Amino acid sequence: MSRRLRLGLLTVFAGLCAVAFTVFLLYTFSRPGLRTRWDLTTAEDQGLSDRTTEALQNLPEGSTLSAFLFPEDPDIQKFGSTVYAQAFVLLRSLAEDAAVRSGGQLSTLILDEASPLVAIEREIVRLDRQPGETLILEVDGNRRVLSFEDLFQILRATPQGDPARLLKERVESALGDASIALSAGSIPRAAVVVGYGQGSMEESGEIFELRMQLQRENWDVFAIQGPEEAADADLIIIPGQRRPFLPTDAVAMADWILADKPLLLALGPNAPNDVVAYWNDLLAEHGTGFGEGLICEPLRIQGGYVTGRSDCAFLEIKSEQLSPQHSITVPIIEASRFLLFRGVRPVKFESGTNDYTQERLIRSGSLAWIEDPRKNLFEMDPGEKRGVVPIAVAAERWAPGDSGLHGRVVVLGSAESIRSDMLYNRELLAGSLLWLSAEESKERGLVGLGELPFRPQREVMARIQNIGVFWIPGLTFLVGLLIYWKRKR
Amino acid sequence: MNAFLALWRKEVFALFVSPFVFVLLGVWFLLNGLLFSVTIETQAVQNDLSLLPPYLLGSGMLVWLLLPAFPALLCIRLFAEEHRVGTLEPLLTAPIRDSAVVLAKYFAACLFFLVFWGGILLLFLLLSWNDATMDWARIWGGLLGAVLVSFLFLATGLWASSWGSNLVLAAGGGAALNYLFLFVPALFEHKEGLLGNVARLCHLPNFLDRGFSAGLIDSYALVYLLGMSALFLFLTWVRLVSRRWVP
Repeated sequence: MSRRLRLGLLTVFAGLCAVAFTVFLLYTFSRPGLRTRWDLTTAEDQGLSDRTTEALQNLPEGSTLSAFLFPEDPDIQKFGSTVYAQAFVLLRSLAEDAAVRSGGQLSTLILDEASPLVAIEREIVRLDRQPGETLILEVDGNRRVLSFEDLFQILRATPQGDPARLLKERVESALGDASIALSAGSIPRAAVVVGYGQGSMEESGEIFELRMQLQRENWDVFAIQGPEEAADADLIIIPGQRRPFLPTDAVAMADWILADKPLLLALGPNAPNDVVAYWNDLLAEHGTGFGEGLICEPLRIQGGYVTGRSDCAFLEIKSEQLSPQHSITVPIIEASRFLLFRGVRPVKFESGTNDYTQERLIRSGSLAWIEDPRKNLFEMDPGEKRGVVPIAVAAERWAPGDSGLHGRVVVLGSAESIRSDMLYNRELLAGSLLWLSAEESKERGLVGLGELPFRPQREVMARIQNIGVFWIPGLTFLVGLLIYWKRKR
Repeated sequence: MNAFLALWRKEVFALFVSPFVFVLLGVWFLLNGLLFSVTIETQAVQNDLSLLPPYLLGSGMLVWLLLPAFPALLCIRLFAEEHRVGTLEPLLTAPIRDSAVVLAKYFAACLFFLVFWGGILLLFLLLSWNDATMDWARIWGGLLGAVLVSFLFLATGLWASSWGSNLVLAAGGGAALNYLFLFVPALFEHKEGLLGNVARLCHLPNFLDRGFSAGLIDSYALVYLLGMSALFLFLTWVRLVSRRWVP
C-alpha cells in the first residue's frame, strides 16, 4: 500500500471517528435524563411547572401528545386578531417542553399549517379529531382531549371591529390535570341505557354520536340494557325512553337517585305517558320532571313571523336563553355559541323539597307556545299555553355530604338534543358531564396573558423603517466604499 | 497562544478592512431591514410585540433564506481566497499550529458575524427607544439561538472553504450544506421510527422557533449547535493537515 493511500485512509478514518464521537455525544445529551431547559422569561410562563413535570414523568412510556395548531374559528381571526398566533407560540414551546421534561415518557407531535398533509390526515383519522380540538394526550389507549376553549379564555371580536383577544390561558395546568388523571387511570365511567328503545351505540347506530362525544370528553362509555347493570358506573345517561322500565330496572333507578348518584336524562315528546309519570314521580323531590306537549316557536322570516310549519318545533337556543349563573351554561354564553333543540317537551322547574336546589339551564323564547300533542298543527291555538318554557333543568342536593355525591341531575326536554343533534349541543353535553362529575369546581388554573401592543404614529413608524431600510444599510455600504477607495489609493 | 492571538487579530483586521465583507454586511442589513419593516407593519405584531422575536428569529424568512447563505459567503475569503492568491502555503508553513490557524480564522469570522446580529439588535433597540415595550427575554433568547446557528454555519462554511481555490464552489458548497441542515430534517420530521426521531433531533428551525425565540434555552440544542460546530472545525483541520499528505 502506498504512503499516499495510507495517509488518505488515515484522513478519512480521523473524519469518521470525529463524526462517530459527535453522534455519540448528541445521542447522550438527547437522553431525557440529561436534558435541561432554562426559561429566560420573567414570568417563567414558557415552561412547565414542577407539578406538571412530575405528572408527565409519571406517565407510562409511549405516551403521546398531539398538538393541532390550526386557526379554525374564523370569528377569532377577524380584524387582525393575534389570538391564534399568541396561542400557538405558547403551545409550541410548552409542547416541546413537555417532551423534554417528561423524562422520555412522552413524545410530542406538533402539526400545523406547514406540516405535510399526509401526516395531518393520518393523525386526524387515527385520533378521530374534531375541529377545535387542540391537544390530545394519549396514555395506554386512553385519551384526554383539550379543546382551544379548554386552554384559552378569549374575548371575542365585537361587531364594532375590535379583534378577539386572548385573556387568559391554562395550557400548563390543563396538561398537568390531564396527565394526572390519565396516569392515575381514573377515567370516569358513563353507563348509557340502550334497552328501552334508545337505539344502538355501534357505528351508524342512533346514539353513536353520543358515544363518540362521551369518549372525546374522556369518559369510559359502556352500554347497559337497564339501570340494574349500572353498578360500576359513575353516571347514568338515558338518551330518550320509548318503554317503561321493567320492575327490577325501575327499582335500580330509584335506588340510584336515592343514593344521590348523577343522572343525565333526556326525554322528548315521544316518551310514553307512563314513562313520563315514572320520572315525574322519581324527580319530584328534585323539583323537576316533564310536562306535556311539544314546544314550538314561530319562525322568523323577512317581515314577521310564520307558524303552521313543522320547523316551528326546531328551537334555536341563543345565549340569552341560557342561565348566566350555572357552570354548565356559562362557558356556552362566553363562547357565544347557540344550541339546537328539536322536538322538545317542557321541563318542570318548580320547588321540590328543601333538600334540592334547581336551576333553569335553558328556556324557550318568549314567543313559544306548547302545542297540543293531539293536534300537531304547529299553530298557536287559543287554549295552548304561551310564553317562556323551561327546556332543561339542573338540580342538586342543597348541601352535599362528605361522600362526594351531590345528587346532581340534568334533565333535558329533548332526546334528540343528545342524539341526532349532538353536533350542535356538544358544549352543553361537555358542561353537563363536568358538572355531573363535580369537576367544574376544580381549580381552573387560568393565568393572565399580557399583550405588548405597539401602535406608533405614522411618522415614528416611517422613521424606524427608514433607519432600518436606508440608514443602517446605507452607512454600511458607505463604509465599504470608503475602505475600497482608501485601499485603492 | 501568542501566535493564535496574533493571527486572530490579523484575521479580524482583514475582515474589518475588506470592502467585499462590508457589501455583504450592507446587503444583510438591507434585507433584514426590509423584513423587519414588513413584520412590524403586520397587525398581529402591532397588537402584540412579543410575537416579533418568534416571527423574526424563529422560523421566518431570515432563518430559512438568509441565514444559511451569508456565513458561507463570509467564509470564502478565509481559506479559498488565500488558496487562490497563494498565501495559504506560507501560512501553513509558518511556525504556528494548523489548529490555531483554523481556530483563529473561525473566531475572527464569529466575532465579525456578531456585527451582523448587532444590526438586528439595533432594530429592536430602535423600537424600544420609540416607547415600544419589548419582550427582552425572547429577544435575547432568539438572538442567542440565531448567533449559535450562524456559528455552526460559519464552521460548515469554513470547511467548504478549505477544499480548494474555487470561490464559487466554496460559497455554494457551504451554503448548500447549510440549506441541507435546514431542509433535510424538515422533510423527515413527521416520519415514524428512527429516521423521524433523528430528524426531530436535528431540526434547527424547531430549536429556534420552539426554544430560543420563546425564551427557552434547551441544553440539547446548545450541545447540538456547539458539537456540530466543533465537528466541522475538526474536519477543516483534518482537511488542512491532509493537504500535506495528500495534496
